[in-house]
Amino acid sequence: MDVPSRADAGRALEARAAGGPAAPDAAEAALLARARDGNLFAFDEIVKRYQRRVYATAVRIVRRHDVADDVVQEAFLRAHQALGRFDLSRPFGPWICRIAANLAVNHVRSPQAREEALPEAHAETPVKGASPLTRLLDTEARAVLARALEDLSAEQRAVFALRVFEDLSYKEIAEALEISIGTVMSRLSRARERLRVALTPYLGAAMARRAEGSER
Amino acid sequence: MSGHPGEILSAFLDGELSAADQAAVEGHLRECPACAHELEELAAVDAFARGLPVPAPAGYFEELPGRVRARVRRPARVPRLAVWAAAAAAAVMAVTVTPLLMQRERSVTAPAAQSAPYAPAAGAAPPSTVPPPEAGFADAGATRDRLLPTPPAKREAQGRLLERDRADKPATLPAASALPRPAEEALRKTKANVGGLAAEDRVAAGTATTKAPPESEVAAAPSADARAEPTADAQKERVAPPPERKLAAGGGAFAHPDDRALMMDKRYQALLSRSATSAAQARALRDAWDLFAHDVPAPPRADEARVRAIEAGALAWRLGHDPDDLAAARARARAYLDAETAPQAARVRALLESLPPGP
Repeated sequence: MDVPSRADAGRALEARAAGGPAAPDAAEAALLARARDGNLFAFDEIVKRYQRRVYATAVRIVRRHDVADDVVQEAFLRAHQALGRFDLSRPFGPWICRIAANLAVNHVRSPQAREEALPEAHAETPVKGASPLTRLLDTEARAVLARALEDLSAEQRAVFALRVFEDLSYKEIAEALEISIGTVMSRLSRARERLRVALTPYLGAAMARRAEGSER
Repeated sequence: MSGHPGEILSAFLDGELSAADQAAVEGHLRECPACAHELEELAAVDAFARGLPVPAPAGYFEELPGRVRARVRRPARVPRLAVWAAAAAAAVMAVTVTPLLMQRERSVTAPAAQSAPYAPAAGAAPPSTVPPPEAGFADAGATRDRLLPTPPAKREAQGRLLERDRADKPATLPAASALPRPAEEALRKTKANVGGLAAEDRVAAGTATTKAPPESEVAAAPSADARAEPTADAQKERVAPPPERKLAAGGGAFAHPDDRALMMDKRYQALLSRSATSAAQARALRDAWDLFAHDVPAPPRADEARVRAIEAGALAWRLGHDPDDLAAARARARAYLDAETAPQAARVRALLESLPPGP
């Protein structure tokens, strides 16, 4: 089950929410207000909307499904407890993802953390479309990228995930992870550099294809 | 810029440099093809990473909401004492007026409690505060401990959350075993009796019959389902299996969308013709409208359901004179009027004006 490639029309709202820091949605604010007043149906709806996004944030940092599952549940629980202090005019997605990222990093830092690699099945998910050679290269590149991500520290992965997938500003990332903006900048730079070096053999072809695509 | 941007190229990509640095890097990139190429590669890394799928076991996202639900407790926003006092008063009435009816109805509510095990609306029936099975709490604590060893004091945000956890504890309903003996006894009686009362209301309102109600009907009478604490056996059954499974498997308001769509019209008509002659009935009606609005989020019916829920809440106050009902009705009416879209603002405003002034 792949999060980014979801096609379920019923998840359209969540997909929109996953598109980055969207403008606060009045219907969602109403739903959150009801959840805040103790309406569990409303909170259930919130969980359904955001579970994939929160899970993606968590698993990108902790790399293990069982741990990510703990993090996601805990993040929703904490969000529920803190709803009373949440400003309904702000988007919920980045907030819950920040909670999840903070929990995930704390977990990885903790002595209890079991640092085992994720099963690599996801790295072999075949890429659709394009020519067989391109598909093969992309599939291989994905495996390389997945391994490179696993080689980063949890802190680097957290910064990278919040920036690249959640589109948070450095300030927001710094607040979420309780680090300075300078630390965000250097961790992100190092993370990107390591990924770039690992992916270099594949990036040329990918960039050429992209340029070709934009010329058409 | 004298040297290559190096480490700050990543921040340049994100537009996070100061205006001066941003301009300096731009100037450098125009003259240095190597750095320009590196920037392109960094952008390509981001794009590539965004395309990386995130695997989750099949069925995981179907089960997760139920598991979260099992761990979420109702926040302590309503003064518990007042709520339980009201429930106890209602229970006394039930005991003195309809003991036989109650006993009969308890057997009806028992299976319902299993199929729709959690209460929907906030201001709804007080006994929806019945805590989830103990196992869920123990698990929650264990997970939290595992995830968060001991947060340093400087982690202010986290500290606030923990503080909130602690603050919540005395306010939430403790497990029955933790209560002093007389309180435990009273609580047990109240829960059991209110279950009977709700069932009685449901019968009076014409929504429950001796045959098993359809899914949507079970959901439409949430007060009875959630508050029932029927028999020792049934209680044991609820606690025995893992709570998540039990909750996830429950039908209730989570029936298949197609089935629900078919039920909607019938449900709507039934709700329109339903009346309330007691505060408890009015509250049940309010919850049923709430649930309908939740299940049918599309206007105009959802809007009508929201307005009717507000009206039923006001009716609950008129019939029972419970200040909590009044406060809830006023708050809901105001929330409706404050919303961006309030198609029936005039109707709700008139209702709000007809209520005594609140806080």
